[in-house]
Amino acid sequence: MLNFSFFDYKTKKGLSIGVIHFVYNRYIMTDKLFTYSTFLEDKRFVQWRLSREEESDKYWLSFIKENPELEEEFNKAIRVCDKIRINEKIFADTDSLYQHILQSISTHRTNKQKRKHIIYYLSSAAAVALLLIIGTLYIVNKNTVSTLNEEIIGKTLPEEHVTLMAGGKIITLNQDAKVRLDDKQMSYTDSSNTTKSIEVDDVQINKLIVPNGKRSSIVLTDGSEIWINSGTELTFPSTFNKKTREIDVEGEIYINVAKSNEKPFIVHTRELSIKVYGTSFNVSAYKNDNEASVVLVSGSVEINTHNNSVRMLPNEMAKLKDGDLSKNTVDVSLYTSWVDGVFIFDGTPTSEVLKKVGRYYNISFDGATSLPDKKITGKLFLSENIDDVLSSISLLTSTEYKREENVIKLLKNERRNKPME
Amino acid sequence: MKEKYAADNFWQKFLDGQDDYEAFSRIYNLYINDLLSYGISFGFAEETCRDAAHDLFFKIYTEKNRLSSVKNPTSYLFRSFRNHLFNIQKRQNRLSPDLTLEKSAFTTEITILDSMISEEETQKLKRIVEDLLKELTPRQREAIYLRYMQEMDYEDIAVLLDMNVNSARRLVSRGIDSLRDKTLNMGNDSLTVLIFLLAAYIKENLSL
Repeated sequence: MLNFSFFDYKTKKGLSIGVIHFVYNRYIMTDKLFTYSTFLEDKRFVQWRLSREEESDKYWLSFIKENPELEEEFNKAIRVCDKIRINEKIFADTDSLYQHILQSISTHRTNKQKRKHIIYYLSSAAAVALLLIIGTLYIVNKNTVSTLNEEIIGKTLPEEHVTLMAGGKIITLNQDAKVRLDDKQMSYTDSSNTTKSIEVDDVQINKLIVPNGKRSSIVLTDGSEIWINSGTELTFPSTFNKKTREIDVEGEIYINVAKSNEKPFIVHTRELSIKVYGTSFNVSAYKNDNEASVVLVSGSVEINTHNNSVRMLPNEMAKLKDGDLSKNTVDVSLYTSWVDGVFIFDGTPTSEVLKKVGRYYNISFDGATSLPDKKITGKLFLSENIDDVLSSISLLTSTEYKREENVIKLLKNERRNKPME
Repeated sequence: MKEKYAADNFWQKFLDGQDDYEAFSRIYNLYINDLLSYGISFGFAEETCRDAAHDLFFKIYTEKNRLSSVKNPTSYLFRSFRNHLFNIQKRQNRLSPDLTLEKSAFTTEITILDSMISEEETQKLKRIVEDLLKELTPRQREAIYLRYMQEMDYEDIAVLLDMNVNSARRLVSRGIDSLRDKTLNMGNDSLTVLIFLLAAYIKENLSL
C-alpha cells in the first residue's frame, strides 16, 4: 500500500513541482530499522520540534496516522527533543542584584516621603485617615526638679532574629517579615530576602517569635491580619477548627479580625481571653509587665478572666492589673500607633517611654529608675536609624545622649526649679 | 520552558497587591536568568545586562500602577528589557549609530537536558540543532528562541521584533523553507529519486 503526501514548493528555476513522497509499507521498510534515532537525525523533524509551525504539525500528524507502528519511536523522539534548551543559563549573584534593586526602590521612596512630610494612618475597619506630622515633639514640663548629674546607661543587646516554627522546622525570617497562611501552605520571606513556602499539616501548632528590636506581620487562613510588636510570641494553628478560631499571644499584637458570624475569634493571653466576631484591636500582655491591656478600635469584644467578664465598645481600654479588671475610654491612637512606626506619648512616665523604646530597638536602659519620673507627651517617629531616635529621646527627657558602639549614655542636665507656666 | 501559569499568577498578585515584595521577588526569580542570557545573546556584556535588568525591575516596581493593562508578563518583560538594553547601547554608541537592531547578532547556546539517550546521540542531536540555527539569520534565531523557549505568541513576537504578525510567522517558518531546498532526509532510496523524477515529468506534462 502506498501513501501519498503532497508538497508544493518552488525550485530555484521557478517551476512548481509537486513532490510525491512515498512512504513505504511495512514490507519494504523492514530493511531499514526505523527508531527514534531516525527521527532525531532528520533535520526536518528537529526543525519542526523547534518551531512547531502549523503546516509541519499537519504533516507530521498525518505521517504518524499513516504509520501507526512508528508511533512509539516517534513519541520517544519527541520527548528527547523536548529536552532541547536554547540559552538556558543560571547566573551567579542574582540575589545581590535583587538586593541592589530593592535598595534603589527604598531610596526612591524615602526621597518621595521626604518631599511629602506626611504619613497617612488608616484604621482598618472604619477607614478614618489621621494626619500625623513627623518629628514634631511637644514637651510639657510638669515636674521640673533640680538634679545632680546622673547617668543613664543603655546597652544594645545582641541581635536575635524573628523565628518561625512551622511544619516541623525552625526558620529564620527577615526583619519586618510577612508570613501568609493559605490552604495547607505557609509562605514567608526568609533572611536571604527570598520568598519561600512550606507545607503545613492541619493539626500542627506553629509559633512566630519576634524578639526585641524586630517586628513582623502575619495573615491567617481566614484573612485576619496580625501586626506583631517586639518581644512577642504568637502561637497559631495552620487551620482553624470547625467551631472557633483561636490563637495565643505573649507580648503585643494589633489584630484585624476577619468577619465571621459563625466562628468567633479568641485571643488567649496568660490571664485574659478576648472573644471577637470581627473587629480590630490591640492586645498588650507582656510577660514582664505587671498589667495586661486590650484597646478596641472598632467592633465589639468580650474579655474573660478566670473570674470576670467584660464587654467592650470601640475606643475603650480594658486593663487587668493585680487581678482587677477595669475599663475606661481612651484615645486609641496612643496604643495602636506602633503599627505605623510611631509612638505617641501623653503624660507617659519616662521609665515607661524607655521601656517601650528599649523593647522596640532591643536596648536595655539601666539606671532608668533612678530618674524622677518626668511625664512625657509627644510623638516619636520610630526611625530605622537608632541615633535619630536616641536624639529625640534625649530631647524629650532633657538629657544629653552619647553612643559608643552598643553602649548608650543619657546624661542628665542640671536644672533649676522652674515654676509651671 | 516557562512556567507560564505561575508567572501569570504572580504577575496579577503583584499588580493587585499593595506592597507585595513576595510576588515581586517571585517574578524576579522566574525571569532574571532568561533575561540576562537573552541580553548576552545580542553580544552585550554581562554587566550591561545586569544594569538593564536593574533598571527594568526598578521601573516595574515603582511604576506598577501603569502596568494594569499588561496581562502577559513574559512579552512585556522581554520587550521592555530589550528596549533598556538598546537604549544603553545608543547612549554608549553615539559615535557609531550604524549599529542597528537588524545587524546585531543573536548567539544561541544549545544544551540538552539529561535524557534517555546515549551521550553520543545527545551530541549528534546537539550538532543538528546547532547546524540548523546557524543557517538562519539572527532575527530568525531570535524568533525561534522566543517561540520555543519563552512560548511567546506570534503576535507578541511581532511586536517585539517590530514587524507584522505574518512577517513574524514567516520569520519562524522561513527556516523551514530554507531547508526544503535540500533533499528530504528520509529514505535516500534510488527508487524515491526515480519516482520523484517521474512525478515531475507527469506534473509538467499532464498538469496534475
